[in-house]
Amino acid sequence: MEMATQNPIQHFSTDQLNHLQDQLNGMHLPWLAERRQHALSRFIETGFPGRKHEEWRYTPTRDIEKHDFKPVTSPTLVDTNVILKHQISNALTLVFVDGFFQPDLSRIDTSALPVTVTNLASALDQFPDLVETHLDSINQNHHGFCYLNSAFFNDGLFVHIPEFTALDIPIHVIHAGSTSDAMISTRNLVIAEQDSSCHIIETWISNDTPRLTNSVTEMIAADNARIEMNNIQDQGNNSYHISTTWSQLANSAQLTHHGFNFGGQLVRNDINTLLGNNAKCRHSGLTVTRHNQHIDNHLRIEHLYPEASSQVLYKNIADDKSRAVFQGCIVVHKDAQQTDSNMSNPNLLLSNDAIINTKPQLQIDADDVQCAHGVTVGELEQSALFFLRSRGLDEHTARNILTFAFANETIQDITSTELKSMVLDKLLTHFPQSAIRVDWL
Amino acid sequence: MLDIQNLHATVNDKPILNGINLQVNAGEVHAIMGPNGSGKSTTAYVLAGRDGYDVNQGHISFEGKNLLDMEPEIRTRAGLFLGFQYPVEIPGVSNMYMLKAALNAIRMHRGEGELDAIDFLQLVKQKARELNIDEKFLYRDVNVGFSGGEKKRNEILQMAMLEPKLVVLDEIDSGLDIDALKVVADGINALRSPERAFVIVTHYKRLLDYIQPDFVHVLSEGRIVKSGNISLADELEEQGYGWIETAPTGTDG
Ligand SMILES: Nc1ncnc2c1ncn2[C@@H]1O[C@H](COP(=O)(O)OP(=O)(O)OP(=O)(O)O)[C@@H](O)[C@H]1O
Ligand SMILES: [Mg+2]
Repeated sequence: MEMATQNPIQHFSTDQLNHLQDQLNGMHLPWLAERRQHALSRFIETGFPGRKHEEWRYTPTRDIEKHDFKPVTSPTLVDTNVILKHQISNALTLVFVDGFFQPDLSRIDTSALPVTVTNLASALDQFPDLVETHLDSINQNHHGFCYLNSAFFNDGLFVHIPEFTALDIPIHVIHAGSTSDAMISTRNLVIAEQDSSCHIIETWISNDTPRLTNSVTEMIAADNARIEMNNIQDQGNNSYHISTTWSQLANSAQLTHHGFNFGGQLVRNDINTLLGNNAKCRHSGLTVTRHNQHIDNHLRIEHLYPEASSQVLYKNIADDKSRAVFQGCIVVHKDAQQTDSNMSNPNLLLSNDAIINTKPQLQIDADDVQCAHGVTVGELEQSALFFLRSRGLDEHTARNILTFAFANETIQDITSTELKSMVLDKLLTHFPQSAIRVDWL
Repeated sequence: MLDIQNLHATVNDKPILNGINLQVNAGEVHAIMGPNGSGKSTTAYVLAGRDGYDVNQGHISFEGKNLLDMEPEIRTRAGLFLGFQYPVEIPGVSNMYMLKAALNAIRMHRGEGELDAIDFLQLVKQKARELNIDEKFLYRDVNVGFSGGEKKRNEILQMAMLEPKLVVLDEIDSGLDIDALKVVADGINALRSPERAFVIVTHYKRLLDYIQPDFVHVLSEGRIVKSGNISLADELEEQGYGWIETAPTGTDG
């Protein structure tokens, strides 16, 4: 078998790779073993998406190839206090360290609840058929990182909400880790049956060791189901994070997806949403880049049936020599009449050396649709800065207040007050000497 | 309190102010009138220290200190207040937050310490009530979606909260309905005191009738071309500016 030029597993022979796969959860299931082997060979064929790959034009994967990231076979334990600090009270909490589920740090007692919330490895043991039916049912493995994930994912979140059931407490997944040069592949599967609802929060944290986290999430919402997903990515500054989310909404289903990106060296979030009849999705995000961070958010929303609506608000703030990328593509298929879509991507440049790349796209094959998109790239408004200074605020504080104000809209969207204040606190750490007073807000 | 000597200023290298002289003492109210484009707002911005307004000649002292040496926020903390002709909208920043940040910055400068949340709330609500401003405006983003008149009343609220020594109001009366004009005038009059001075830029006599300024100046082509008392405003109302602009220049304040 010929290897792609370079990849994170280049140092492993095929035998070693197969051996690594053998240690993964669920390998006793023939269908899963087969899928993993297939994905591995596909990955070896395709390698990582390169510059030629139009969808990866702004985000080079060279750096990832250069690192010798390796699958890990056991976690390096991290300071529990760090994890506790990120916990949300009253949530069902699943903690993963280097991708390995930590039952002792988790809190998922659902015995009194008619729902299944567990780690994927347990679900593979308990409900193999359910998992087999849904896993990879919408993930289209559309680039090398997805194959890599399919070949090596070991664990992740599994949620099944039966029909006519509302899970009111949030499900909180915390991914932490500290193993140097680790390649961590996680897989989440969320199934919301007809007229059900759930609310998921995923937090990514790590220390400053170099690592690659490669996550794939599938969320399947049946008729009238509602899913809310909040992603908070705040990893250390040597983290490479690739995340792919596939959501499929059936008739009148709803998805609210918030993506907050503060950490990481190189981050790429691929968000793909498939909309059924009268389905509604709302994607909002805030990305703050500093130093030489590079964060790319890549959305693709497909209107497949009539009367669905999609709302996108993604904001980027780029400082220092960092780069923030937004690519948003709304696809309206032939039958998707009465589509209502709005995509907005405001960008704030705080430094002359920072770069924003933005590429909104509309592909419309239906004629009776309402689609709008708007992109702005700007600096802080001079007149607003002067106004605040003329009210006695020093320039530094005035700049911080305006930057914060720009970001704030996306944070106010968060429904959980506890999560909201957590994200707010996180954002405020970006303004270290600032007089922004959270108790005034 | 304020002493403007032979002030020349340019905007984008274009000369706008061509030798303004104006002395304002504590307790006085000065009105500045003048045709569109004569430099009234430019004078106000120069006083407040806006970037891009370059003073290339002249001197401004404020309470004996060189105003032009101070950053905009330092001028404000020292007691200057500019009410904008076109108030700025700031999405994402609530009025309440802005007022609190501004008031506390100024109080810290005065060595008074921050006002606690309860006292602040009480103060701001009281001031808002006096100015006929609905409380809900306090929680809205600064000027966002405010009508023209609401924005102007909001400027007066900021003035009332910050209790400056020298108040410069640029066309605070334009866009106000008759009742709001009265409220704003009352707000200004309420602040009048022997320690405080006002420079009020306006096109209309009605506000001046309420306020009864001590002096009225006419600015034309970047210079004060005529000064007098409130009867000058009456003459202007009747005759316009034509007769003055042809008059010899060189009047002092
Ligand atoms: N940024 C700028 N660039 C170029 N010219 C400017 C700029 N700002 C002001 N000016 C010019 O300076 C002159 C004076 O403007 P200013 O706003 O001070 O007038 P004003 O007396 O306040 O007028 P109004 O009564 O209409 O408010 C005008 O001719 C205006 O076009
Ligand atoms: Mg003006």
